[in-house]
Amino acid sequence: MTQQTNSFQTDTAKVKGLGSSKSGFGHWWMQRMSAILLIPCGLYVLFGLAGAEILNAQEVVNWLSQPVNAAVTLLFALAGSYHGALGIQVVVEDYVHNHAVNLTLRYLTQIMMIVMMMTSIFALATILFG
Amino acid sequence: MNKPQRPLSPHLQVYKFQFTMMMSIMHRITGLFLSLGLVIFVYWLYRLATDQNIANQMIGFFQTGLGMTLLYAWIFAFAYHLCNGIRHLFWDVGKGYSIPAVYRSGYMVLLAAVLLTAVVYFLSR
Repeated sequence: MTQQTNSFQTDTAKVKGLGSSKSGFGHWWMQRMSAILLIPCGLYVLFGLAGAEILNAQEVVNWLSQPVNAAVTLLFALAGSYHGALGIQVVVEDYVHNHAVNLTLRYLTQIMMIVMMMTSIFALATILFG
Repeated sequence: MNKPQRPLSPHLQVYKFQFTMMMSIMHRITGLFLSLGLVIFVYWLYRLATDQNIANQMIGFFQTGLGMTLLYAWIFAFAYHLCNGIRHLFWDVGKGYSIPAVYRSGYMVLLAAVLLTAVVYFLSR
């Protein structure tokens, strides 16, 4: 890369004027942050359920009645819904070129994410607090 | 609105199949598959809280042949997406970009995903 010497702009000022991206960084960053959160939470839920002696609804409800198990499971469901919605958004942006269909699918993805978050909060609150 | 009549990249039909492209598309496919799985998981949580009979019926389905196949497909997809996600996180901080390193980490991810699935299988026996 060649350095332009006939400019009084600082390096930061030059860089800020480059690139087409206006608002993508937040998406990219949150995808990574939710991913990092999902590693321990996902493994905890997976091994928590896989280690159960008998897998029936009552056993699982008993497991989920432990506050720590319920909290990690809720975090897994919330972060997972968010991470999934961010990922589906990228796939839709990449492959769906019809603008109306693209917007509709992204809207439905976000609605679905909110419904899933509300459902998991309701489910775990009901199990914990009756 | 006029649709652009130019070809779209990437031109998959002119690429030779490579291990690394398989790893990449698998990350997307497992991600989509896991999103579907999470919908079922959250519905199961809802049924655990509201109607344990239905929750038990769902457990019953995942103990049939078809259900077990689906369940382990989901567990493998989870293991794969988790391990390959860690591979992506290393790339995000600028590590492991040489071609030999990309292949090495790719094989490690596949092996780790199979091992993780096997551990879950033997734990739940």
